[in-house]
Amino acid sequence: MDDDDANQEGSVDEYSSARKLVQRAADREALLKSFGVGEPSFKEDADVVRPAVPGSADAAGSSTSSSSGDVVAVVPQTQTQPPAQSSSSLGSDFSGMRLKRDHFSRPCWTCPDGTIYLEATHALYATAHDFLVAIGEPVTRPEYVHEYRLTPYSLYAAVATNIDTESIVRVLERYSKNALPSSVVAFVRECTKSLDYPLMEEYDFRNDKFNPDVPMDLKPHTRIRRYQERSLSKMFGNGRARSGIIVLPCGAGKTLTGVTAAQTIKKSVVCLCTNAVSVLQWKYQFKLWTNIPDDHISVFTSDIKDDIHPTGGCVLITTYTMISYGGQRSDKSAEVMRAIRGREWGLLLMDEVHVVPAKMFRRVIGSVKAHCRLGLTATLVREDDLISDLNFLIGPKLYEANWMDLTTQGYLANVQCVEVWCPMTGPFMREYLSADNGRLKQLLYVMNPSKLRAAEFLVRFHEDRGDKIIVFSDLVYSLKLYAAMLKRPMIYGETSERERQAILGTFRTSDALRTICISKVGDTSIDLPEANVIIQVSSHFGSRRQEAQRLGRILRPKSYTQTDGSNRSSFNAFFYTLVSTDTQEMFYSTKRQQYLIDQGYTFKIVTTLSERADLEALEHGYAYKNPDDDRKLLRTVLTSDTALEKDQRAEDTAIRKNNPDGARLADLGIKRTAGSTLAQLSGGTGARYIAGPRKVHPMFAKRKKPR
Amino acid sequence: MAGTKRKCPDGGGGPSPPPPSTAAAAAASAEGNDPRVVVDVDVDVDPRESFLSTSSSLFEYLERLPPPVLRSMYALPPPRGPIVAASVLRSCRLTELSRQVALRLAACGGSFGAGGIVEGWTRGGGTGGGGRRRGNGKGGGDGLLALQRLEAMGILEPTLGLARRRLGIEGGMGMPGTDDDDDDEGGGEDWMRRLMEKDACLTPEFGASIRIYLSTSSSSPWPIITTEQIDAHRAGNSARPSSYSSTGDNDGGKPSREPPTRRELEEYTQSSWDSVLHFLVGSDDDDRRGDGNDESVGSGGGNDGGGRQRNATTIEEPSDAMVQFLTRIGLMQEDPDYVGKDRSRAPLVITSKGYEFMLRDINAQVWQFVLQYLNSMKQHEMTDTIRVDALSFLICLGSTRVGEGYHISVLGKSKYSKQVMKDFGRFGLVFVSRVAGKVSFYPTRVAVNLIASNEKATAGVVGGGGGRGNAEDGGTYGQSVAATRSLEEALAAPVPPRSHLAVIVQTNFQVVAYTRSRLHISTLGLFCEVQSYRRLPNVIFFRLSRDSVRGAFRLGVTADQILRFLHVHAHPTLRSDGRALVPPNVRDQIVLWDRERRRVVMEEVCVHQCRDAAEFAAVGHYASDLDALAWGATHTNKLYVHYRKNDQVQAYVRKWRTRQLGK
Repeated sequence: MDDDDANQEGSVDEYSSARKLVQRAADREALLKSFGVGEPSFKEDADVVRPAVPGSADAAGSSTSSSSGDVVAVVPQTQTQPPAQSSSSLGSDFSGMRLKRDHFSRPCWTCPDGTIYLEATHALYATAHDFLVAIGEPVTRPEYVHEYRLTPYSLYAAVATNIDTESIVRVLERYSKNALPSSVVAFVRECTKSLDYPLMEEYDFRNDKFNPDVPMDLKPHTRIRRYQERSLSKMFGNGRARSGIIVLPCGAGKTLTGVTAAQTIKKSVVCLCTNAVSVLQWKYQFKLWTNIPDDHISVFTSDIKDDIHPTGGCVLITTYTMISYGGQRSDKSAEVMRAIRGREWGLLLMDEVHVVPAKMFRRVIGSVKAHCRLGLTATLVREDDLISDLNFLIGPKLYEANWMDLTTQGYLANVQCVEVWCPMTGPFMREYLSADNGRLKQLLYVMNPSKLRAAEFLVRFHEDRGDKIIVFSDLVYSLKLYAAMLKRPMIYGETSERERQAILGTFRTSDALRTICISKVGDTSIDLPEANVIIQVSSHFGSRRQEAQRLGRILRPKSYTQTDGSNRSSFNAFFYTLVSTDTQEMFYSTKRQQYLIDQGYTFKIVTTLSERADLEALEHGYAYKNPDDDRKLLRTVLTSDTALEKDQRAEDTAIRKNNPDGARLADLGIKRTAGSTLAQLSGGTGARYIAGPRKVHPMFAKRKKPR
Repeated sequence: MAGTKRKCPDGGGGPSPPPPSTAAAAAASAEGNDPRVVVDVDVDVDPRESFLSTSSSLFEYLERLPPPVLRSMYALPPPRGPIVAASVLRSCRLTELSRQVALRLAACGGSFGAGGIVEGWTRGGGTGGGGRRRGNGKGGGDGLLALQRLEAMGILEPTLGLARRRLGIEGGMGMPGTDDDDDDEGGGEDWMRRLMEKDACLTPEFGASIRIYLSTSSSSPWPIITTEQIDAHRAGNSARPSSYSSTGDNDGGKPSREPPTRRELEEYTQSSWDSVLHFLVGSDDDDRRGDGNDESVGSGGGNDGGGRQRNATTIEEPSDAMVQFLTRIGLMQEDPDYVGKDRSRAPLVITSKGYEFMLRDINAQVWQFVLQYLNSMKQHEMTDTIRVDALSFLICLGSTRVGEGYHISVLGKSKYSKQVMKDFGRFGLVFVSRVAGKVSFYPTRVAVNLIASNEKATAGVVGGGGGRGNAEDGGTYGQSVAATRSLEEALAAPVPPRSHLAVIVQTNFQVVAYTRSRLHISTLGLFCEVQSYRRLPNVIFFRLSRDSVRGAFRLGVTADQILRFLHVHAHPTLRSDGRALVPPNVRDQIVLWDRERRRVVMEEVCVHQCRDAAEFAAVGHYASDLDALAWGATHTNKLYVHYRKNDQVQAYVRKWRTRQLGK
């Protein structure tokens, strides 16, 4: 216990300095904004702002003054914010910028507010893209014109990967069609001048004689792809290892990247995963790609507790929950924990790093003393915008791959995303409109009979084609119904491990099973390379990340994916989202797609499929084919309130057991009722969702709220 | 918006002030000093004229003219009469079958019984294009329709009395007997029988003209200015250097110029339109000036207003007559928010109709102008003569080629013809200058395509349909070539001409428009989100959203117009790749947004409360047979009956109830 406290204190120190940095980054962003506002308005406010702006600039410049800097910095923020926002709401006119004479031969525009547009069809695209990914944050990358944004974090990352200030300015100037705005130059200099980035520590692992090496090398058959190599070259820029985050799409071989990083450092590694299933997958991958001996790799989960190699270096694979668990432990795991705390680790490898809340991360850092941290993720988005904290907790984003480029090159399956509009049938719509209970509404639009028919139609269609299909449903109650309708097995929170393995095994290896139904437990880390069709019947409200993760289940390149660049032309995987029209689902669906749209995916809207499904249903005798079936279904739905609640609660607990990601989702799913009458307390008026104040970690309390 | 009234003080700044036109004269006489008088004039307008002024194409306009006017057009001396006759025959206002009938009649001469034509010529499949159908009803319908169209276009003598019926029948013409007519008391059968006994023959005017047309070999209406003529003239005047003179008046002393190239013609059209469109959206002086000295000399940019440069790239103010046109057509109005005392000084602002106008393609815009031009003639004492002149001239222009020039002498002696030609020159339809020693005119792309494109729009088939090969490919091909070329110019030239627009629509609903023109930006702003634009020196980023597109719909813009606009102005890179010019998902979404508006259909209904289920069933059955039932609610026994058929249903209800009482 004492040990733990001491560690915590140590990390608190680290966090107080991190807090200053977050504050400083915010100040700098505000500074850029004030530049971005047109000159006149800047002058108008000059009288008010002037005393404050130099102050904050000084504060940001000198790395020592922190408290006074904080106080002063508040002033310009509150005053420059309104004009900045009003200018963004009315659009921004930078047409006054001077265009270079040979602008045609240059690929980018640089706006005074730090936004950079890149022509993807330009001859210099490839090199400019590499450069911009290094210094900026990709905002949206569709087919023709990409948008990047310079942020303090992205510039830190640039500096961290050994790009110096002058070369940023020089190269940007070279690529830019317009003369570089002075505000951008100032911003770049400002953000990169003081190298006060605490986590930019480098680990000189080659000269580390103190820690023993792990005897592992890549097997000869292991091939590293170009983008993986590039991402790793950012990490091992000068023969040393840097901490940071690598963002690769699902299915693009994040595991191999992690394994290669570990193999390069060749020191002891702690590898953190989200759940026990992926722990096993990581172990399998380590053994697949490297020649690591069995006694040097150990697994630490609630079921399996291997011993750590007593003397030599080793690879330990475990889950976030196992490491950060604060309560009473069994003897065995306490012993393992002691061993973990007791030694120095070369690399802390974090899979699906976007799920890690700051609190849990602190516990992890408290337990694992690692020289270097590498985070891996596919989707660096969170609905709560805590992503930027990761910059300080782990390190800068080292690399982010472009989904579309990888698709074109054939490293990812080319997915056709389809949004199928299923009109609500009359009786369901009536009930939907009169329902006063959010959960019932949700159930009604998920159980919409035309959706059921559309799902069955799609399953039949794709099974006939020989495809492997995953049906996703968040609502366990409806998952059961869909599985029963399709007569296919399902996996959800309560499914036992053995049954799960059996189902997945059959699905992988045999053609007898072509469709499985999975609840949100399957969103991440279930590796099903064979699946190429997803039918999503219900989902977690507007979660962009869930959408991307689910898409990731079918992104793994198929055996018939072309790698010669012609992959673009033909679709070989399908991602269907069934949406009941005129319900809230439409709204959520638009919101969910945003991340993928920014990555360049398009969602085709199909409105006629449900009509066809209705006809097919009659012809081929689907489970729900005529209005009578619909009525029966409606009756079941309306009387199933309690069963539904029970199912969902069981699912949530099951997920929370060993999956931090799931826990978050489960927590969000809870509906809090607030009321004083007996009817309200007993649920007579139906559950109500009340959004409380957003939880902000005290550490970041001072941070400006994102727009 | 500019604070002052945007009127051109045409103080001799241009190379030559445009001559006062008949249009301007008519407009001035109609309006006097107070523009509001125009409104009064328009209110008590002749209903026939207002009917005419809504025509969406030239041939629709012709069809709406009284047949005697049409016949007088056929009777014009060659080349006009024959060309008008041939163009009408080719137009899509006639059916395939009517063309056959007309040509047959022209070839055979004399008259034939209507019954013979309808039954004999259309049955059996061998004779007519549309006559392969079995049974008298359908084939007869086609035949009748053919005759009726011919009569309406003044091709047949009005002995059959079909054309008169047309005015009563909307939509489903051809099947007579559904509405009342003077000689129709005996019902459809009787009327039909009498009709079949009548004779059909071509009007002599049309017959003569079409025969002349068929027997001439020249494809061009007038003799073209040949290169020999130009060379000969040049040789004759080799001592004098040729210089630019855009307006050649008929005094012989002025020097000639080289014939304009196709490209010059294109630029001329573009710029004469741009001046109108710029004025319409109110790109203020600041904008124009910015273009004039953008990156170039920079002289005269400092002082406001005075530094208007009149060089080749600057866009000129449209003439007063044009401005008056704009207000008359309703594209512009005086700023309703103007607070000053003197209403006449209120600035002109664009109306919603004007926005809609902006989104049309150039051909449709020109047609609108021509239409208004023709309309403005109605005050003139020689209105019919001028109209006939103008229309026949337009039609003849339609059978010319871009790049060919004609001496003004081909227009004949009529002073109106020359005046009309000059007025068309101001719309950008023809390019007038001195070539080879004489005043000449060169039809531009717009003039040549005006008829064909009109046809396409009305036929509803893009890129197909009409019968004019030359103009046809000019329409579709010319547009994209113009866009490609203009973009290349924009990229290559240090000072890009501002009238060029290249748009990329991205899958994330972002619209990237390569343009510097405020005109284009305002046009895009019609259907893009104006709150979130980002403008850079040579490009502007917009976002399409449901709200913005619906806003455009509310202004009367259609989804089709938006998509067509995006297609026409698509970036050349997209064309060269052969990819979709507008991403399919964006296209679908726009169409879906459009469809969204039509999900709720308003209908006037009467609610009928039935006494019991039996009545509900009986009346409901009756109403649905009558096609009068809008909705029935079983549990309340309420029937919702279409308003216009309510009387019949009520009568039935009364009958049904008495019958029930009787039982």
